[in-house]
Amino acid sequence: MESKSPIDIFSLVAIGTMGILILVSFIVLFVLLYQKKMLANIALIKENDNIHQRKLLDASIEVAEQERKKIAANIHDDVGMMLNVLRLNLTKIQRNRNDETLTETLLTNSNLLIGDTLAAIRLISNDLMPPTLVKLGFIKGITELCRQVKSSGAIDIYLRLNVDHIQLEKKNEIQLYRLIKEVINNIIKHASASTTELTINATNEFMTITITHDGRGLSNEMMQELAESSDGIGLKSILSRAQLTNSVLQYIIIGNKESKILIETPLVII
Amino acid sequence: MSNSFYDYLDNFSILFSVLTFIVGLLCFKSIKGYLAPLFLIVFVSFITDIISVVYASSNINNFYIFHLFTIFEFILISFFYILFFKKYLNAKYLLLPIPIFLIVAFIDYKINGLNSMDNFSASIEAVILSIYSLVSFLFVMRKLLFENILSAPFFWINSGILFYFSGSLLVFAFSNYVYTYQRSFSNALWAIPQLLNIFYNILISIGFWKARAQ
Repeated sequence: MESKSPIDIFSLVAIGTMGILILVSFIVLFVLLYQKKMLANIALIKENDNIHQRKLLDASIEVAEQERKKIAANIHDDVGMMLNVLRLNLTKIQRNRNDETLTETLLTNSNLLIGDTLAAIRLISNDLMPPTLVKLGFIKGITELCRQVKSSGAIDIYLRLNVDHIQLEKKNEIQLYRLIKEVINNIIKHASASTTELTINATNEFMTITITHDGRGLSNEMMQELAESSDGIGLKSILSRAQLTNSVLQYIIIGNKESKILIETPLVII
Repeated sequence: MSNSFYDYLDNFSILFSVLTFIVGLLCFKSIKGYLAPLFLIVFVSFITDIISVVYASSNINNFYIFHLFTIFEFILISFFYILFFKKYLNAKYLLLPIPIFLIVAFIDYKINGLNSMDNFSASIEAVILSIYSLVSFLFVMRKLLFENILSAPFFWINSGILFYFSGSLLVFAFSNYVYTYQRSFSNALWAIPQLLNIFYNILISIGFWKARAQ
């Protein structure tokens, strides 16, 4: 015989089960939609990343083209012009063999011209591949770069080395060297700074290069924005070189007259 | 509703267990890793259904088969999750609920004996497996494990487990109570897990089929 329950337990179970099933349906639907949305976001991030990579690649190609143009112009304008004058001198000497005074003057002049031509070739070669960097390594290369900048009088540069020697891969050495050179160039050209200080620290795993200056600085956001613009080829090349060396680059504005650029490079290259 | 409807539903539910087993056999080559315990559960379910039908037709008490089936089911589904998670984390902690569940099953046996439904252990099983399923969904979402979730066997099977065990939880918990106080509704109440079992088997079959497609 059926006993009377104080409550209609069957209805409660049926309604409760219905509620649970509706909830479970929503959970499964949520999992599906969430997964779809997240994957779409990841695809978008990847796409943006690809666009960014393409832009960096374009920038590095453009920078290389500009460097080639600069070298071609240097060879044509300096070396070419000096060699032309030298040829003219030699032609004059050939025509005026009997005029000893003129010959003597032209020979002295030509000797000076050969010296200047050699100096110009040395400069071009140095620009292409700094010999100190190649022969003596990264630290000496940077020291020489700072000496050259200081002697040019463009800016007061101070180098503080907290490490004697750093073992980097050769290809990364040159990329980091050019990155630092471009950063210093930008400070000279755009920041209106009078003093800059370059500090190099290292642990077993990382090398940290800190470049501080007293000019107009950039934040990370401003740097990214400028790099995205058509004029930001130099900044794009900085980003591209940072990426090539697996470095983390940070632009920080500390105060009105103090800004910092931090470059952190892994010493064990991933 | 007439009893013949519930009989049809019962037979229909058994038919779907058989169909899932056949789908499992068709996809047997693809059933590896975490799918292996699930194929075993389908096989055990298929055998249990056949034995219980034979026993019922001969008027022999078949409740103890369900008591045993609940234990097997819990252990095998736990292994399904252990084998799935072992790729990503230390899944040995998922072994811990198994001895606890064996104690629960023993307590159930002491309370209900072998002549009634194992509603206590079945309810605990439903709670634990629903939690496993929900946590798995959370894990899958957070780690974005599948590029196309609809083609992942785990999604279908885990959904089946969640629907079946969470949906049947209240029925398992109150089945003996309803049987005592509202016996005329007992068949109607059992229609819920029967329908969910059909849905569960369909989702597992899709899971097996997706494994074959991969």
